[in-house]
This record gives sequence, structure tokens and C-alpha cells, in this order.
Amino acid sequence: MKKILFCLVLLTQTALANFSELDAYLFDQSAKYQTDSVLLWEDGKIIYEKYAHGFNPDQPHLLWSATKSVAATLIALAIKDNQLNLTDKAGKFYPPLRRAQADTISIQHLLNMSSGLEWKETYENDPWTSDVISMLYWKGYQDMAAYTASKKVVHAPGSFFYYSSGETNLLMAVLQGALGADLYKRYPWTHLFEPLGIKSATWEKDSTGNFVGSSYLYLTPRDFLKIGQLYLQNGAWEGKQVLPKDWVKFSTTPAAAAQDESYGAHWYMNTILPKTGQRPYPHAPEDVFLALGHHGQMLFVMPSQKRIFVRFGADKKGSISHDMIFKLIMSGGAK
Amino acid sequence: MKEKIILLSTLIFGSCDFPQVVSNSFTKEFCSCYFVVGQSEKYCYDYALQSLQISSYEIHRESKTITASGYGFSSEAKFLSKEEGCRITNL
Repeated sequence: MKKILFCLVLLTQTALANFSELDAYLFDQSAKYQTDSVLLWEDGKIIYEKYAHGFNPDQPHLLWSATKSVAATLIALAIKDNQLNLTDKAGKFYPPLRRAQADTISIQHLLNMSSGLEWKETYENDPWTSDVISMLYWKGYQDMAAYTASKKVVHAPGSFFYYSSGETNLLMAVLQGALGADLYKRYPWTHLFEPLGIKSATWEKDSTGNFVGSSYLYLTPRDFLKIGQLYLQNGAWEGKQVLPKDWVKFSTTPAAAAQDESYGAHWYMNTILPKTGQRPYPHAPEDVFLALGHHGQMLFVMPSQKRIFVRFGADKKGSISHDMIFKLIMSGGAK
Repeated sequence: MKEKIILLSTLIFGSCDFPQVVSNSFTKEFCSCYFVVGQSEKYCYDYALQSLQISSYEIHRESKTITASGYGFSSEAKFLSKEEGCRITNL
């Protein structure tokens, strides 16, 4: 125990020596955002780690929408197991989508947020017409996939990008249909968490037993780091190819219909936006990709730097700048 | 003031039971914060509260449930297990 405490103190000191500006920014007492925990990993070791507001290394934190990137990883695992394909129609495994127009929605369309289903992704600032609020807490909380599937198809599937939490929960229902309820029940644990040594996971389900893939996964920062490592290693873990070989490339390729967001298959990237000609994060490397969630949850995978950054927060009153974090990560440390 | 605007908008644009969102979201997020994350009651209260207030809440430690009421509605969320976390369990 003493050894662990000593290591923690040492880590914090290292942090202050190398990443004092990043530390000052993340834990700025006068800022409206609130950092609960943070870690930075580089080429095999954690080089900066800190916990605040009562959190410790063993406590899981809600990922909010960063859950989506892990949910997509479950689809990758099922593809590796030959349970489904990207080009399969979602209705093949989820009967409510076997209706006119919706029957052409494919698994890839859902991963790319391009189903064409009507949706409004707003939160506290516009609660009364928000489909997310309605899905999580009102009309849809018992069966989130059914809530989403009941929406009108307002664009031809594949032709229009709109970030929708409902689409991830549809994907989870598709996965349940493909795997069967028994295998599905603990699939994240048997196929992802246990092989990676992730022990802190809680993944909440709706009343139908469907994982809330859009929002409700809890992990410690060190366990979330492992998801980043899996992607940094191109889907390989301890010498074994866990994800399909081309999965990371596919995940980080912009969705064909995305014009004003750099978004792939449930991951954000830093590619040049077709509409503006600019990158979303000017201070970040070009090849970085991100899992992001409400209230400032973040995982940055930085392949060229062999760095991974995890930050959990409770930014209810104001948002933190991702680009500023990139700037401070890039200027800190030995590199 | 903000509360009044939201409530008025709810009455104009929403359905009559929309305000149950307030107690549903509070119980669910409080339950997860308290029983899954293991945070303090104060942290979880601040965390679970959205833009609208609730009138009362209670932590039932033995049954691992949270109940809350607000705007004439009551809600309950229950902790099921370490893997499954919490879920809204209104009757």
C-alpha cells in the first residue's frame, strides 16, 4: 500500500515537472469546467496522472457519449466472429426496421451516424424537444432502440450525417439480434473487458436488457486507457489480433456523408472538414482520433506521438477547450 | 426565471407528463453516481440535478434504490448489480 501511495505521489510530481501548464489548465479553480481525473500515457507508461473531487484510481467514471466508441468496438468483435457484416441491413437482426425506407439502413450507416432517421440531439439547453432526453428519461427509457426505430426516415440512408445517440442504441439491438440474448448478456465482458484485463466496468441496460451503448458505460481512467491502447495497437492485444485488421482504419475514415464534422465509425478525428477546409483541432496531430462525451469526457489516441490521454470531468457550467489540451500535451514532456 | 421559462415552454410544446423527466433523470443519475461510482451524497446531488429543482429525494441504502419527486411526479431508480448498474424502475 505504501509503495502504491509513493508511486502516486511520484507520478503527480512528474506531472508537475513536465506538464505543469496542462495541469494548471485542467485543474484551474477559477474555470467553469471541473476535471475529476486525468492521465497521460506514453509508449508503455503513464507519465501524468491525477485525481480530484473525491475520485481515486479505483473509481469508475461515467463515459457519457464516449461510450459510443466502445459500443462500436463490440460490433467490430462480432464482425471478427463472423456474426454480422458492415453491409448487412440492420433490419436483418432487428425486425422493427423491416419497413419501407428503413429497410435499407445498414450496420455501416448506423456506425457512420447516417441512417437518415429523424433525430434531435440536444441536452439541457433544449430539453423539451430533445430526443436524447426523451430516450433516456421519458418516452424511450424502457426500450431505447424501439424509440429510435419509431422515427421517420427523413433522408435516404447513407446520404445524410447527423450525430444521433439513438443510432448507437439501435446498433446494440442489432447486436443482440445477431448474437442472441444469452451470448449478448455478458458479451462486453467475455469478448472485450476480460481479454483486456478491464475489471472496473459497469454497463447499464434499458428494461429490455439492451446495453445503453450511447451513454452508460463506467470505467476507471486506467481501464479506459486500455481501449485507447487497443486502437493504438491497430486492434491487436498481447500479440493477438482482437479486432478485424482494417477496423481502426475504417473507424477513423470520415463518414461519406459528414460535411461539417470529422467523424468516422463512432470516433471523432482531426481530418480537414470539407465545408471549412480547416481541421477541428489546429494544435492536434493530423492522425489523432477521439472518443468524446457529454460534460467533458475524453480519450485522445495520438498514434504518431504514441500517447493516449484520458480526462473525466463534470463540466456542467462551462466547456473546456480540447484544442488547448492538445496544445499543452504537445508542448509538455520530453518530446 | 429559467425554471419558469422551461416549465412554460413545456406546457406549450410538450406533453403533460414531460416534467417527470426531472425526477426520472435525477433518480437515475443519482443512483449511478452513488452506487456505481461510489461518490459522496453531496457530489451526487449536485451532479444529478439538472436545470430544474426536485422537491425531495431519499437514499434507500438497504434496497439500493433512490426515490425523488418534483412537479407532481415521483420516480425510482434501483441499483441491480456491479455489471448492470442502475435503471429507472418506476411502477
